Amino acid sequence: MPSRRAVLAGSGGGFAALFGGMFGLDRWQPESSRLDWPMVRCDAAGTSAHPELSGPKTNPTVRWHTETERDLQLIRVGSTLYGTGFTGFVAIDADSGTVRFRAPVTRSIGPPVRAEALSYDTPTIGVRTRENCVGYNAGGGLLDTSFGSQRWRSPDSTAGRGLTNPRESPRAPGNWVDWLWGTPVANNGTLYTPTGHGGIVALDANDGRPLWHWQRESLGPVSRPVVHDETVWFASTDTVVALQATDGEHLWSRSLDYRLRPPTATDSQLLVPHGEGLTALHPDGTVSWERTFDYKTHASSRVAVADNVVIFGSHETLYALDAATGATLWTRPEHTLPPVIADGIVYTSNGRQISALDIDTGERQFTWGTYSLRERYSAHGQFEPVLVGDGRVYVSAGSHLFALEEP
Amino acid sequence: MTEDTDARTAPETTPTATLSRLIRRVRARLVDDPLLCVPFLLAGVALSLIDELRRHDPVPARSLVGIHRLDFSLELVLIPSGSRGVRRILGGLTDLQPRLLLWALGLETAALGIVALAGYLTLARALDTGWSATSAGTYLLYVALTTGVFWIIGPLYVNLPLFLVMLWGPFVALWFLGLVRLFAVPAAVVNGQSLLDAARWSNDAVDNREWAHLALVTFFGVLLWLAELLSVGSTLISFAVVGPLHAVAVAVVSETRTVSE
Repeated sequence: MPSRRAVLAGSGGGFAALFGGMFGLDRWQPESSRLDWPMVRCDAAGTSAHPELSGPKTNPTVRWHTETERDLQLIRVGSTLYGTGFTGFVAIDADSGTVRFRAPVTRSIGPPVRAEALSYDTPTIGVRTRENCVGYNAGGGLLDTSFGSQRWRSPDSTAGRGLTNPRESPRAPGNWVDWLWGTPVANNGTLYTPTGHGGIVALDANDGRPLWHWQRESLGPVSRPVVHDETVWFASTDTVVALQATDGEHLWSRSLDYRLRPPTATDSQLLVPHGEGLTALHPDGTVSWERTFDYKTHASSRVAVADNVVIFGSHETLYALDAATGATLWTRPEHTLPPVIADGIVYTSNGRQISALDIDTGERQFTWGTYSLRERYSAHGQFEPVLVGDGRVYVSAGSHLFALEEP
Repeated sequence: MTEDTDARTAPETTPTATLSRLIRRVRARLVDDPLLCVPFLLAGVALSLIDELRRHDPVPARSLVGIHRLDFSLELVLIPSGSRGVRRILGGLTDLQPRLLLWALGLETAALGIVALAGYLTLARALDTGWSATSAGTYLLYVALTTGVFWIIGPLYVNLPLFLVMLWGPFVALWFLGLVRLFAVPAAVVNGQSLLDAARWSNDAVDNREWAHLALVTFFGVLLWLAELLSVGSTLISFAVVGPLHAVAVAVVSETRTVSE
């Protein structure tokens, strides 16, 4: 029996379908929940860890594999993966790997982010472009196409200039290098978007209207912000800035004399990776503890934190540190890409292979990504675990995307 | 013999001469009867208020006015109207909460009704035609159809760089042709013709005067673009200026056709 949608489409009732679509009649609608991975690094605090999700713990198999755009940056909402690549925005069924819809995005420069939009039945997916931020309907457009999927575009200029200066926020050449500079995050229906000129603009996820804007051009490019406990933090080249999340009021700035990476917030601290190691700040900006390492950290160094354990990769070593004191809990001698954590397992990669490590001991649970496997799929990009959920870990490798799960 | 009568009977020679005569007659009509400006002036006030409501409600809307729009563009319109500075897009209404959807559609319907009413009243006065529910309904339908198409596909702009892209060339040329050929449809509708008859009648009305009408359509597009450069009052000014000019031009073209018949 044909579905209501098929009848609408088949009957040629374009307007009926149009208005049916507007009212959400019989449309596929993603349901967001606390089990989503709604943004890169999992949450607005940038922990790269989800307390309720789990992935494979023993040698996984490939549930599905698909070729998509190169260097796709992914999030998960319900059973749908959303990603942005060089030419557009794509929604992929997380169970089968099939594409639900694609929408072209002109000059997208960051990963998507899910934001709750109370005016709508479906969440908004924010994508940052060079000039502005674009809001998409997570449910796609009408009649299972991308037509009508774009909800809003934020104003092309903020304080007389575009959201970003392309010279200051170049698109990174590889998927493991820093795309996170300039990435927006979402919290309580607001998108916090770096402007690329030492500023942050807060956008309403319902309609993209700017709620507030803070800027100090001398700071230079701005990192992915983190939001926790009504405070927005971000790092510029060498300065950490704290703002009030509700109105953008400046709380404090602190210079750390290092080249800073995007920070991570916990309940009691702000963890700021930098070229020499890692510094933990109290919420008022004073230093809690600081660690420097023998080897300089690379540009993609990120913190993941769960269960009071900080996972941090320097150039040649993966460290597990006590979040309260910075003391080393364990180390592993490997160059690592940004890790993700779920259910006590740290998923990380040296570029060629995915490793799953026990967060308490660092003991390896499995590795995945043999040479023969790479040849079989002709996957020559760097293997990187991007998110966890539904018992799977999703791995990107150049233009390839793998969903791994326990057999 | 008045200038008006002179123009009706004078032989048409070059497109420039035709255009010049059209503009002189439009100006003369507006000077003789300034009340022709009133419906669109009031429409501009009402639509400015609607723009403000669109700006402040929680439904996405795009503001298309201001000095940042210095890139040259032509807005090509089929009906006498002005530029709406704040617009909805289709995607902004999909999956909207029912209460907000009704509000948004209500505003769009009100805006459409205001544009239709202003155009109908101006044309009826300019053509010296009586009002009728049938012709008013047909005019409203025409406004709804033309506006609805733009609303779904987005407002059609001809940006200069786009115009240079050959891919868009044929489409834009076709659109221009349609605009020119359908230029006098509103007048025929107000005179009581059905939409199909009005389209045929308009198509005949512009025979041998395509270039003059093309220039006129372009002229209105440029005026709308200039109005959109204003950060404040662009809706009011564009409706108050372009609306009456467009409507009276349609009436003048229609009269020229009637006289030649």
